[in-house]
Amino acid sequence: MSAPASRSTRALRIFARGNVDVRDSMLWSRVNGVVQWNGINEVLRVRHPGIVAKVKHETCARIDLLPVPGEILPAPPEEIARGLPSGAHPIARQHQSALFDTPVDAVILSLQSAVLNTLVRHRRDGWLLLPEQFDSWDSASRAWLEHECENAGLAAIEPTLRRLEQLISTVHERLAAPVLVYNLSPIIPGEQPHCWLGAEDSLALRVRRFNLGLAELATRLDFSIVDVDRIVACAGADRLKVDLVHLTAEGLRLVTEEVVRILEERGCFDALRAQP
Amino acid sequence: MSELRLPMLSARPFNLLRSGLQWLRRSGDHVDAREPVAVCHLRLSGPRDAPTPPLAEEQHDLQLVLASRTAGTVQYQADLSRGGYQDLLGSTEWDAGTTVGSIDAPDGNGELMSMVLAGRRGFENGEGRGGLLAGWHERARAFWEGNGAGRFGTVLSLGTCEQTGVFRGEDMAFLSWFARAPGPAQIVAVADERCVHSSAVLLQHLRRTSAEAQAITAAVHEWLGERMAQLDLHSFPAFEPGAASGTLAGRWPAVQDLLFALHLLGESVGSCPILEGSELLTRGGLVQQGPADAIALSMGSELVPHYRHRRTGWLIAIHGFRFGPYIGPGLMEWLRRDFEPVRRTVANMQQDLSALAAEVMARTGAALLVQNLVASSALNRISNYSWLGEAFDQTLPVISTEANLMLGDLTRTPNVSMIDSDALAVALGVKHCPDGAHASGELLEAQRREVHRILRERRIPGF
Repeated sequence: MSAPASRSTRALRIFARGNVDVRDSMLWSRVNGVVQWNGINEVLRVRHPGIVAKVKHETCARIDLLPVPGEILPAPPEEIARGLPSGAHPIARQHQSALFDTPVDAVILSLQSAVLNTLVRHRRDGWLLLPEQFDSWDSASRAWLEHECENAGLAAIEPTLRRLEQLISTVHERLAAPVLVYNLSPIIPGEQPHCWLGAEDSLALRVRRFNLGLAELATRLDFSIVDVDRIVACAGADRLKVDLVHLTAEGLRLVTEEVVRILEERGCFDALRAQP
Repeated sequence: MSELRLPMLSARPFNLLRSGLQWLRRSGDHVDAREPVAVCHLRLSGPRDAPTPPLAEEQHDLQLVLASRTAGTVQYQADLSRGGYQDLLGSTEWDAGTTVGSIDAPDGNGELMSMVLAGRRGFENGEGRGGLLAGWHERARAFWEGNGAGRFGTVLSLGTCEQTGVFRGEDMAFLSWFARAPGPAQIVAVADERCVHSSAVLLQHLRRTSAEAQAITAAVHEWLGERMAQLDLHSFPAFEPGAASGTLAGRWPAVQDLLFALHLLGESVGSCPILEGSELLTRGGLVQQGPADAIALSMGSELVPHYRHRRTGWLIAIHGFRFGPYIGPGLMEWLRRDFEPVRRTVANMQQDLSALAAEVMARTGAALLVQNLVASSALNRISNYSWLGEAFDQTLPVISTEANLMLGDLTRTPNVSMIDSDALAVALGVKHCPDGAHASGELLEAQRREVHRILRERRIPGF
């Protein structure tokens, strides 16, 4: 949660579920203890004085693990969730969300988890799990996971987009809030394959497929794309990108400004000012 | 200080003649290694009863660029440049070893490096002498032995205008490649001003029989006859009443359509550039070079409007922007009547590119380097696509992205590589390619580096 609102300010309630792309732009980006970018309120302070964004943020193990109301996704039992190591993606929270718990003015999601995160599946019970930073796990936890689970791989595009469609439709029905979805820039500094003979898709190719699929979905469903791909393309990846997912402070500012522009187009600020 | 001397070069058994030298840098200038300092024109001659001399089709636009092997400050012998036509026409025997100047570099080997430029005119009579490779050439090439040994590697560029920048460069004379590829190497660029070299057009050209060539020629001949028969007294504005006291009417308009059609025919029934060999001048004499080792294509060629001649099946692809008030009206009428437009989906493009890769592999073994589209754009600031509906699939950004994805898949074919221009443009910022085709100098250099990297990874000799 960010930026508590005083009595004289109005609060724009944003629910954001995503990883570094969403967190860094909407909340903050810190490198070696130094704040590089201080979130959406940096932009609002200038463009909409008197309005403060209250961002409720959840990390996203993967978009298909975000439940819709009434849905209980198969999840690891509590004792397993407690016993296994976890960092930014607490195992106990990977299959839950507060998205539909309270009213919000806008919802922000991202393709990043769907493109990048490889899950494991429990061999017997079938639940999925993101074993974050598996390499740093203790040997007992690793051995347990290797024995009990199998690689479930990356998310396929079509099911992911169908799930996203379901989520967005549910947000419209339950929360009547606009949905913004971040796409990704496919450029990976230092990587320039020219031939994929005998290879799986490169990440860059996978990002491009997801971006195109997202744009196609947007022709059928009323939501907005935060076009990170275009923003990076305009200013140049050499200037804006650190790696596949991390942007420089300038890049984060440009992405956040685009979020604010879309929220303006969606009438979020006008609606807020019109409230008694 | 080293003397700069003319290098060994031979056209044996023919005589090699040169013009006076034209200096490309001033005496006293600092030059980089392999930076051209002078150019002269070449000509081959033989006895009267000798067969057609080699490089016969390029005789009138054959030039030799000279460069120092090392960096330093150059000083010239003033009398080696004669000025006027003496510097444009080859009239003196090639004189290897002649000192042309000096350079303040402590390198013992002052023999100049040479690169031959050869332009094959679109119309043999189309004279356009001047600078480096000046004039209208339907095929232009450069080759150099450099420091390397072994056989020449040849790269053929068949792409659209963005590849002119990559291969011929801003100087239009391949100089940036001479500076970077050690040699022996050759680059050939074939123009796309008449017919664009899409995979479908190339594939048909590769498979064309002489009977098909004859049928196409007959079809063009028939239309030319009809077109000429339509001319009446008002078809010659230069002779309209009042023209005797001055006219702005310019050329005979109708002839432009006819000439365009003739050149289109000439290219379609001439040799296929993928199969065509070439002749090279080297230190040791003339060398016959086979077809290209690598062929650069553009995805942009695939999106150009295609037309198929209804009776003969002849497939052409023409940039619409080539047409204007002079070339166009009559030709459009011909296209509407005798051709049918060919709508090509991304799946069609994939099929044709795939078939072309297989055919080229079987016929010459060449690699295809396909330049993708700069699909990323600063222009399409759309966050909500819902208003586009079904039209979305037909928008250029979507087709470009799908074509790029298809090309990515196609690189799983052994002899296909992708020149990822989109990624290079995004790395620098798409302001370096605002219209998606015409790149800045910085982006062109990045593309050149990328092409060079791929050629080296594919072990094309000389690069």
